[in-house]
Amino acid sequence: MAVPIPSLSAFRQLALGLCLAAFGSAAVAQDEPASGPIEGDVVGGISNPTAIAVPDMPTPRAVGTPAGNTEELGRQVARVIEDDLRNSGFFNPVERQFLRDVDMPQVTSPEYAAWNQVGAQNLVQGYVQAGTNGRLTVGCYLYDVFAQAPLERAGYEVDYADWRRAAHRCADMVYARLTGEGAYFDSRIVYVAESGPKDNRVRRIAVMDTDGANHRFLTNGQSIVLTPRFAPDGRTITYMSYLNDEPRVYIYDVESGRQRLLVDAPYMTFAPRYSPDSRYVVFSMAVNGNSDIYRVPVSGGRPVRLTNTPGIDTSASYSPDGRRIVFESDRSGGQQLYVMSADGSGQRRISFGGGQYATPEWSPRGNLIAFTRLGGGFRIGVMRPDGSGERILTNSWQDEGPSWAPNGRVIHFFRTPRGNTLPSLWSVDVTGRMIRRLPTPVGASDPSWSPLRN
Amino acid sequence: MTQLSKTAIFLVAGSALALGACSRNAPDDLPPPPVGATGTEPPPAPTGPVPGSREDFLAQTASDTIFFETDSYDIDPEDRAILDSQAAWLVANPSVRVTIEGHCDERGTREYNLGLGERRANAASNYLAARGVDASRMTVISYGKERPIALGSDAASWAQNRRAVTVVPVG
Amino acid sequence: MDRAERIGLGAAAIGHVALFALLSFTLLTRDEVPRREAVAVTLTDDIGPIATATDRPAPAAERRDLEDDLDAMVPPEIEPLPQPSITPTPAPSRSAERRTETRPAPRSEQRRSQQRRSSRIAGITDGIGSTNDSGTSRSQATVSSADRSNLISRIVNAVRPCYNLGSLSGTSAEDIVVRLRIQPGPDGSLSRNQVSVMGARGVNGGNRQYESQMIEAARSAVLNPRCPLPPLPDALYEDGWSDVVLNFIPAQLT
Repeated sequence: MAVPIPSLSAFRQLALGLCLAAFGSAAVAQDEPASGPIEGDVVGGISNPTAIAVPDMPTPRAVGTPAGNTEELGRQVARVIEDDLRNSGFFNPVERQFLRDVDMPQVTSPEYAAWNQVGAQNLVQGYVQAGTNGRLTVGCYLYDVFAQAPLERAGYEVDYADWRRAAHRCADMVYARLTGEGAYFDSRIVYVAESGPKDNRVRRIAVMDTDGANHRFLTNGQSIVLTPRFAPDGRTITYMSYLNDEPRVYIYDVESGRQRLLVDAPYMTFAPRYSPDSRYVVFSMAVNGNSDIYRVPVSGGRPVRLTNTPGIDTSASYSPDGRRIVFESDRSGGQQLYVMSADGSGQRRISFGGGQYATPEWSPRGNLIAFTRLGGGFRIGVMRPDGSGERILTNSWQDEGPSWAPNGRVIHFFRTPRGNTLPSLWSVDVTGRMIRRLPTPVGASDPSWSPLRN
Repeated sequence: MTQLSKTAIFLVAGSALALGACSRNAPDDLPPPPVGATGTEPPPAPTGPVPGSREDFLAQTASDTIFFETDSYDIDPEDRAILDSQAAWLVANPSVRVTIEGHCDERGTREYNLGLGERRANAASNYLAARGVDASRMTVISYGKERPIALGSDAASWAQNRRAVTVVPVG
Repeated sequence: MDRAERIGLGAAAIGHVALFALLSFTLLTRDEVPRREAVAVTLTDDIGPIATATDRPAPAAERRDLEDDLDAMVPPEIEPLPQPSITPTPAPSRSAERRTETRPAPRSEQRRSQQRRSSRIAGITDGIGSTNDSGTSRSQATVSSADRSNLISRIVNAVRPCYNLGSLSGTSAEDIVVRLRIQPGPDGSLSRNQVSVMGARGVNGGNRQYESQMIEAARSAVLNPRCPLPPLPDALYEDGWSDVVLNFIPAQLT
């Protein structure tokens, strides 16, 4: 049996490390004394949620508004902010029992020492004020407690009914400033609400705020509806409906609540996705056993065919610059991912791992493509647009249909358990950490994120 | 639209031709014309189901449903026997229009399964057309994995859900 | 595992232990490593572009760097914020800065004199370093070296549990190495004025968006009250070693 003998110097390091229980530094003592400042390496950061305090927001004058008294609104706004930050997974809000009352002068002049004592690294303060113009103003201030320094501040003026949006925007400001990521709390999710047994499922298109508030159904459940997607401009939603037993893609106008057929063809149209400029929809059309991808203006018109191979070409998704499209095709046997130019030219396979790949969605940052990987179950993964750097993010019986948050950091998908069960919405950080279930009133599938509202 | 229609006609023809190639047996293995049909075509008894009705269809044919292998839309010999009996009934009831539903098990993604269900419905439809049923009498619709009949997540349930169903309208 | 394997493994284990003991012993005797406590140390003579810093920039200039730094972290003028009708005490940024700035004032006087002295000492220790090699005044230099090692490792071990990357973990931000200079008081106390950013390495187009967050993660590590710095031994402090440079390296290179 060979016994590996470490080199003397390596062994000395080892002995030193063990004897002295040093960790976190790869450095070693040198014999020669050195002059000047001493220097050390702090190697290997930890990853914990940041402790943040979000005390109730005071109001300069307690006034009744259609959304409630401003004093009460100050409490509610702080809670919405706190929930947003907690749900991101990156923040650990200080428990409310340890929070202090904040008066108006303190909003801009925080008691750092006191916040330091409760363990807060960051502090979000603000105020809620009823304006004379019938609108609500929320001031939002972010502080670094350790450095005793203000980091950022912003004010939001909203209609009373939109008070939650002011809170989301404040949370977005905090999140963006502290993580370096883009904002995403002030956005909405459209999805398929599912209820009833598997063989008699009722499906309705529903929308809600990112935190589940302001939930409402857009369709009544009489027809099967599937795969809704928000337009990047937020004005319309495209989805597939079995209205009159004809499965077709529709465009729903958010403002008017009206829906219209996208393409009047005697064939099934499905898997609609918007172009980044909201002017076009790509979709699949099945003609006698062969599904290909087409593009058509949102306003309707003559579809242009982008793929033309025997097999099922579907789940097309534009790159954020609108120049390329990723899609899935079983032309090689099983489902795999392909990238082509937006005009359909240059089709090239990018996925080569074992199993099959489906439902690609291009990140709004452009750097990654999320997908469903099949093989002994469904899992959500990401890869670069050239197919390299594949990482699987989830592990469950069936995780399907990834959809990116507007900031390209978080992915929503739906998870279906075995048997006669309802699916539910989940989110996962692009690093694969922090898988979290999103509460919905009933079962839920096919989530799609709206752009950031403004 | 006209171009789409032309494409469709071309594809219908093409698929009908290609159908044999898709099946597991060689094309020349196609079974003989449905001989059984000749023997089971007595004028319906006055007390039986109304001719041309769904009950009549279910009573006179081997089944309204054919089943598929995983991620496949091949028509196997068992399927042919069923479809042959359906074709005979449809030829005998030329005024009836039918819908052919394609379904999948839950082990495919939603959008792909819409495409796969459509393939299965078309495989059945094309076979019936090749057996003399006018294509204009048949409508295909894919339900993907959205309308299973078996609710389990096991091999037996999945096998039941991978199917094409010929539906005669009620009444 | 059969018998032969067991014997072999046992022999190997005994051999390892013996070797370990032997080497540890030689290490302890030959190198006269003080048997005090945790030491894992970097001593760098050449600290790259910052090497000039060993020459003690004027304290005033240093503090200006820090101010620039903090100013950069406070967006100069954000959208004019509608002020609440009750006008709060002075503008937020200014008041906050004044609070933190006034507090360590007495110590900064003290530090200035120490820094003046330390620049002289720096010259002297440079000389010691070379004499040490030739064998003279060995004992003094060895003790100094050990104490320095000891000190820096204690500082690193104190800070590291609070080096929290949070949301930056697992992202391209981990390519960024932040270099901080801290000037703790003799009791280990540190205020933000005693922390200055010397630079960030590894910033590129793919992670620039995280640069200021990485700097703040490093700064928070040294300022976090849950990770107080150890007191500095008086002797060391008086030798002008209150200046410590820390490199925050997010992920161990493999």
